[in-house]
Amino acid sequence: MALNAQCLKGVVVDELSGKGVPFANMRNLENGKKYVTDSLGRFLICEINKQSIVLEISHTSFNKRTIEITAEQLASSELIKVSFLPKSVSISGVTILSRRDQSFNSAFTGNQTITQKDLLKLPTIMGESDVIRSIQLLPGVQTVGEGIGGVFVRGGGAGQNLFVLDDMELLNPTHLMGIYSVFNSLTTSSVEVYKGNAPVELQEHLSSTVVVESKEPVKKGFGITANIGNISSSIALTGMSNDGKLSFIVGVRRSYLEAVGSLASLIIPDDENYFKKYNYNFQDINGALKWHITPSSLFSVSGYLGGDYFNLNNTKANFTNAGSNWGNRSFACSYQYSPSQNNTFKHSISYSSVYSNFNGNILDNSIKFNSFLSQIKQKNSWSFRNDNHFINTGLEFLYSETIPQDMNFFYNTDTVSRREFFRNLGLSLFAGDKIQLKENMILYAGLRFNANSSKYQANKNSIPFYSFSPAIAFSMFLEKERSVKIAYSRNTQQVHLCSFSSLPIPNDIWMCSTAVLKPEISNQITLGYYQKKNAWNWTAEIYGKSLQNQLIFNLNVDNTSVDKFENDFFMGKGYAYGLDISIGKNIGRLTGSLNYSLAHSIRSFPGILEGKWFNDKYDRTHDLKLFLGYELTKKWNLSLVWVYATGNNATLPVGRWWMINNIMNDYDGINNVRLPAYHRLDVAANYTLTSNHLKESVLCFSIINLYNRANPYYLVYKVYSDSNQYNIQVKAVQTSLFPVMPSVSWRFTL
Amino acid sequence: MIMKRIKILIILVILISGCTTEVEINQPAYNRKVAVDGWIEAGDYARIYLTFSSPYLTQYDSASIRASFLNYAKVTLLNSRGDSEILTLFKDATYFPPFVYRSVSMKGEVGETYRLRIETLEHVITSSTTIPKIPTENRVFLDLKTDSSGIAKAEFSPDLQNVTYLYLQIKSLKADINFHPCLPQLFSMPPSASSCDVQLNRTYEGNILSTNKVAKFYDNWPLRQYALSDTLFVKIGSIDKQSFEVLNSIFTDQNNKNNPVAFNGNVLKTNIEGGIGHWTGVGLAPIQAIYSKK
Repeated sequence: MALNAQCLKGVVVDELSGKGVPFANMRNLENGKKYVTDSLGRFLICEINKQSIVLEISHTSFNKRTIEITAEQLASSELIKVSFLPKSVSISGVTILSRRDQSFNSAFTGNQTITQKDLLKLPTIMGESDVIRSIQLLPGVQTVGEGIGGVFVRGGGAGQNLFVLDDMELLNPTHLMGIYSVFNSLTTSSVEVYKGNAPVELQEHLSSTVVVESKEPVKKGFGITANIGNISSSIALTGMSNDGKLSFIVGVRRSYLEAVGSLASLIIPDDENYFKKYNYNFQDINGALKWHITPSSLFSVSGYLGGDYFNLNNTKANFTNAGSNWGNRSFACSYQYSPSQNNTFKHSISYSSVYSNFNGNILDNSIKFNSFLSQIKQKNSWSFRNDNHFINTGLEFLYSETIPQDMNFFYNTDTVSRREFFRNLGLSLFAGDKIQLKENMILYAGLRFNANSSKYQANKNSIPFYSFSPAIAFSMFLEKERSVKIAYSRNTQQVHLCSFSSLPIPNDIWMCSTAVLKPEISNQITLGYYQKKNAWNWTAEIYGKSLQNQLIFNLNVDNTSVDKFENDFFMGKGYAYGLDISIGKNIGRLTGSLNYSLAHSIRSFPGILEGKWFNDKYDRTHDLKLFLGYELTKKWNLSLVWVYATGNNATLPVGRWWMINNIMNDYDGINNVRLPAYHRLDVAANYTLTSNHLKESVLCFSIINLYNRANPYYLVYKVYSDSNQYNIQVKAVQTSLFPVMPSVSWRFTL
Repeated sequence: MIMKRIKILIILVILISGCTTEVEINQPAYNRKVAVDGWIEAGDYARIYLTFSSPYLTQYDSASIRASFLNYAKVTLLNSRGDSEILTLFKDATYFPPFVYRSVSMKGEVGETYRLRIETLEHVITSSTTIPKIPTENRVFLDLKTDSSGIAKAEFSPDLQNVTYLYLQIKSLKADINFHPCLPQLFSMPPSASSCDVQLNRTYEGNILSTNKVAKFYDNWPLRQYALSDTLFVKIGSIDKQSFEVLNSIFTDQNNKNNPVAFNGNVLKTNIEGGIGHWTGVGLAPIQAIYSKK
């Protein structure tokens, strides 16, 4: 505690997440005076006349608590940290925790929060809970399917989402092509999602902003939580100093498929052992360290290193020592200072990079293909809050280096080398104000200005380009717990994720914006209706979005020389619109949600089909998600997830003709064939074990794809001819990845 | 040095364990078109194979295959001097379809433009192509990899001023009936004073309707190599830019069959007005042979 003359400072935190509890009420029982914590949960109590005081702390969502601050505590330099539990509702002897309803209370449409408790309830994939999977259960976020990495929000692409972990940007958010995310669920405290409409300081990508925060330890000393699964495990280490000023959390994950290969080699010959020919593993480490230097200043450092490694050696298929690896490396440090409860200054510097490499010998051709993007950002922000305004303003400097292709290959007696290198400088200014117009009306208005310049190779000249991104949102809270909201944002994105094929693969290219490849722009308007009644809530949101400067990489199949790398792209536009409906119950033994989206998304590129409009590959008319969770007993917790989505689109030939004794294709359009629908049922049962040594011990049993649905990953046509002349059949053949997959894992906390 | 792009994509995804099943899908409606597989080589007669295209998932049997033949069209060949000839229909048992429209008097000449006009009751199809200068100063040889096999190669001297587009075909005495494209099927060279070479990788002739399953001499052979005991005949022909673009789009699509990682924007091109396929003029260099002197 810091005693400044006659004032007492401290912080009130949520015991489960470690985060500060804003606007908790405090009453000094000695003199009856009342106080309120600020937006970060901090409090300042002055005019202390006695050697000890008794404080009563209360909040609508938390259990009331009374604490005595002793004379020794008043005299010491320890920071007073008061923790209390979220309020519980007892039904039939089973205690169910309530949940904050972010979507109802937020000023923005499409804003939702997922807690760690939500993550850990979901059925696991091979023993691992996952942040991205939980995001994909939200309305408006596509259930894309396995094998397709990335998140697709309201008709947008995989590269149009901003993922932030503890002030670090992570450009590639998935491992193993979308099966796992890069976020360790054991270190995750909360996940906040904005679907296209967000405050201007978070408005850097077109489709969504996902802000993931790590847990902050609340108890002194060390702690370990681990999850041991089928093919991967994760561990989280926490620690807090005795004075409560210094705390850290570190999470490590690693898969061990190669161990499966070694085990299999005991019974399977090496040339038939799939795991010997194809090696894959992923690993990541992330961590955050926080140092409360004084009660009003905080220094924090965070880091993430993670990657996927794939290697194959199949001489029969003429792939020798071929491998690919991809991943993220990010670091950030920040300093936050609050001279008063209403003012906060924050300065941060962060480094983020994403890379993908491919090397190997394929068909006796030696190939190396690397891609890399790094960003250094320095951000300064100031926020001010009073009863009617919450102002956030600041500026951000950016320096980035992009190597979209570093290519070297020996092909058919030719040796080809090509390396493209771009440098970008950027400056962003932003200012936004959330205004409490009346007790039941909130207006948000903000503006972001971006200035960028890009240099190519060693050229001295750089060409600047500018953009403005306004955001406005209005919320009105009606009687009987209803609200309506409307929001408009014009988003600008300075980086492009360029797929160069019809399937997104980890080696897709990140490309910076240049004066030729202008920043991507979207204009999104969203209208929403929200209602709560008792344990139920339902929402309906309708949105419309236009997209400009969308990029697809052109692989130059004509073999024509291209003088400028920037000319190797198709640039076009798109539209997306839809309706998202959600019904949920989050109190009681049975909880769950039913989310449905009706949507349409189209694209047009002047260089493709002469600019005709075609369905986006991930245009899916219907997307339905059902989640149910049931507290069977105090020890058993059951959950079920069922998803259904219209199939993706594929470009397949519609006709065939003969040439040189073979069947050739005739096409009619792009994304002209609808794949079979995607649906899958996952179930899970969590059993809490009793232990005298462990604070938590839970066995998680999961079955993914319970009814073994063969969902399409991709589809091709195959021609079958038999020994009878003139008997040819052509069939559509799909490849699926996930059969029924049971798993068991053990999660424990020391 | 020729700047090219990677044609082999990282097909990581196909190597991941996955199961395949046949499925039923709703196929878009399709109107059949006249498909032209035609060429005229310098010093040789024009050859045009005509068929109708059909919906992709249609099962072929003897009746439906015969229905895809277009052997009742009037095919007229014209050159830039005003000469014309109505082509004659011949049987060709070595090819599919087994009917070919062939000229009997007009042969290909370097520098000439040849127009094609195909008429039926329902269709009028036209096309045009030129025969560029014949590539000179090229040689073919076998680059030995073992004491009994090697990879066929060709060495060229490009034009000093213009881009050269080449169409490469090969026929193995032991394994093939007709000339067919090797791999790569096409090759382009920017203007240069330096010579360059290309591997003529072995491919199967690929007659999907062939019942002759005996001629599989190169089954279980090292990839792309030919036997030293074989005799190879190599056709190196120059084509114009339009023909190169058309054939390149067709062969690229063919090379990526069953590969889900298809390229963006590779739309099949054609120089057939009112139909699909290709009409290609080839400035053919003298056919060269690679054989063992033993």
